[in-house]
Amino acid sequence: MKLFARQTIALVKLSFIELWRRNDVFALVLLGLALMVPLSMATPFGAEGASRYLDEMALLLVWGFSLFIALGAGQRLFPPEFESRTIYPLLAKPISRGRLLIGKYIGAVAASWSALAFFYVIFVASVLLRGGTFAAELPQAIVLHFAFVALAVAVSLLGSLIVTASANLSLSALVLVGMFFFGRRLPEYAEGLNPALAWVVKAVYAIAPHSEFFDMRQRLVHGWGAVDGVVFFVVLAYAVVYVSILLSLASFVLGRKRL
Amino acid sequence: MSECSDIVYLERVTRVFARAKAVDDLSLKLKAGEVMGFLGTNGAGKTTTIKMMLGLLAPTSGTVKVLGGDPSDPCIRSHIGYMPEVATYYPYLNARELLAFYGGICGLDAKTVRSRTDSLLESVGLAYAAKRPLKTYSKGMLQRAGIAQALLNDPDLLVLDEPFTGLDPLARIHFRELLRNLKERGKTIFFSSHELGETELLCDRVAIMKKGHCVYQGPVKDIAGDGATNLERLFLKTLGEAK
Amino acid sequence: MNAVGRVSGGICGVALVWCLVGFCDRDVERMPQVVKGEGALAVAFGDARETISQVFVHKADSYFHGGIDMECDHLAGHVHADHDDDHEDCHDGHYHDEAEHGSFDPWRWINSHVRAPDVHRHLGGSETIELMPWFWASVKADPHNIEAWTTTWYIANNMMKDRALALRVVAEGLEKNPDDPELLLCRGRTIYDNGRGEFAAAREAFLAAVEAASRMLQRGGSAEERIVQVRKFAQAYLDEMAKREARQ
Repeated sequence: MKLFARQTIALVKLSFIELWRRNDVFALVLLGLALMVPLSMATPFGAEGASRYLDEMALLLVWGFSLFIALGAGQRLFPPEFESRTIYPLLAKPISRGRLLIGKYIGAVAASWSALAFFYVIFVASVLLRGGTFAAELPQAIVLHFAFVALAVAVSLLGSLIVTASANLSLSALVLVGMFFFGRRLPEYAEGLNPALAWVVKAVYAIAPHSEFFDMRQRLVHGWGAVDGVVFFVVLAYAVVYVSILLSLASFVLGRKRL
Repeated sequence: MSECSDIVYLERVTRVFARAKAVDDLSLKLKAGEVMGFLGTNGAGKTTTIKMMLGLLAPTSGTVKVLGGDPSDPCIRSHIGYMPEVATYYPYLNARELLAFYGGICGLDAKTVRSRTDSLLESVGLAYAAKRPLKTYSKGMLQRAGIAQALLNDPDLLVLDEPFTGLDPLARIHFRELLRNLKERGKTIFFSSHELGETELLCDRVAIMKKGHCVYQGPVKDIAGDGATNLERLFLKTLGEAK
Repeated sequence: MNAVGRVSGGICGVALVWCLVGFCDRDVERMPQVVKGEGALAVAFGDARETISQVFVHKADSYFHGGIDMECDHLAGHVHADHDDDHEDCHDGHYHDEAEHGSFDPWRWINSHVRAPDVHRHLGGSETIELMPWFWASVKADPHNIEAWTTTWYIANNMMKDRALALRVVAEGLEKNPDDPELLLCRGRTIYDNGRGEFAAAREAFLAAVEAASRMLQRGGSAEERIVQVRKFAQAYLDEMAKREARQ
């Protein structure tokens, strides 16, 4: 247990150092500020006082940036180890492939969470600077967003072991963003299709990761109030189960990968 | 000698990749404190053999035992140090952080890692660049960082894949001295190399591989130094390349 | 810088997806307008501007409904407060009970609780300022989206009761669409309704609206019925003003 803890801490540190020294997070923040500062100064038709659109755009950017960070973090866990051949000295150490996978996943998630926390700090600061207030559901929304990031890292991690980096990033983004925007409408789309295609759409609806479950942006922006506690925990349980399945598959693929 | 007392014990080991035999019926033993050079042309099966010794690859048939156990067992691997042929270590870390990372993977506590890091960086000649990111390192410097990580867990068996690649003459001399010191401390060393001169200077025994077969195994003292049967001539002769 | 390149690519991707979502959500009813010499937006987006403009109108609509996307969100509690009859048909078509769909769908159940409020509220009064940025974006994307201009005017004039803002909106709209009868009618109504007795200015606007509508009808076009209504409406205002003046 002590060994596993030390190994995990080492892998978490590695992910942290890599993420923060790559400067992706800072570049994203600068880009976000470059988009948001002019927006916040805009007075549509000379009318002042609108703020929800700023919250919505800022949250959209936070979501987009967090997805970018999570997919990148998941993608970078194993392929670079194989390309730079560091996988050999790593696996020659007293660590099994399964433990390495879990440790690296925890590291990537923790690093992505740190970036997400940083984004939220900036978001909160910007709202406070504008004299805005926060709805009570903010912590709940952040927890669900963290769960989404954990899911996105797992999706990207599994993909990175199966397809090339560019294919993985494209497919993972397509699936997660597609489900984020269209996931809840798939049954309606299926109704108008021929039976075979409808079956495929329904299968996608049943199997694909429902990233839209974690999206509480509209609740925050429009002050709908918190999600019911039972539903909140059901969504978290969904994330845990889905991540477990993805990691099991990734472990299977990594275990069969020839070194 | 029984298999239990051998640090490395390979018995009739064969590894097949898509019907091609990378290693064919290889038997090899290495006793405690010995230094063995593992020679052969490119594609002879040296790296495949090393991977099987480290538990990274399972043999198709035959027995592989290292330090008396199965090398796929992490407990066994905690006593092995391995340096790969060419590795581009994590570009965003510096040498100190790299060793801290590998120390964590080995399960070493922070204090031990710190004390070993200082002495290792000193002994491989990287102390002056310990805080520089690895992405700024030359190939030789990366090789030295690789040596340091292999020695970090104070291994009983050191497995080195082409350790002299990329080292300048001075670094080679330092590295040779380092290996000699390790040998004097009773460590067992197994290394593959194309550097016949270095092998001759360092090894107790050599094994020569050709197309997956071990075509020669014997003590260096039997072949070296008489001007007629030195290692280079033996190497060419066993590979059928002698004029 | 490599990181910046990757980030920029990501942003472009997000922007593309955003536009794609809007495009897929919309039924494109009219052929897009291409107006030469309209600057960077025209060059960058071309025919897509109209669709993008409609996406922003759609977004404003969801803001009006307190954040509910009327095309796909489902109310969790089915409680409907502050609801006007205009949207009844729409709601009937979109708020489904589980019974309608047969077996229990856990994903729909989660969505209906996470992505919809328990109570449906509309924006009202000064809160409607929140709609303005989306309409502003809409008319920036397609300055010829008359529906967006007139809806913005309606919000300013009738909901926010901000006549100055309403006049600014109409003035900007007329700058981009000179002689548009609907916008002229809107201007006339604001001037007429403000209670300051600026009848001359109002009459001028209504007359311009009638004339512009007549010219448009002579040219013919797809929105003929709407223009007829506009002309009729402007004429009714003129008649009422004439009666009022006669009484005085």
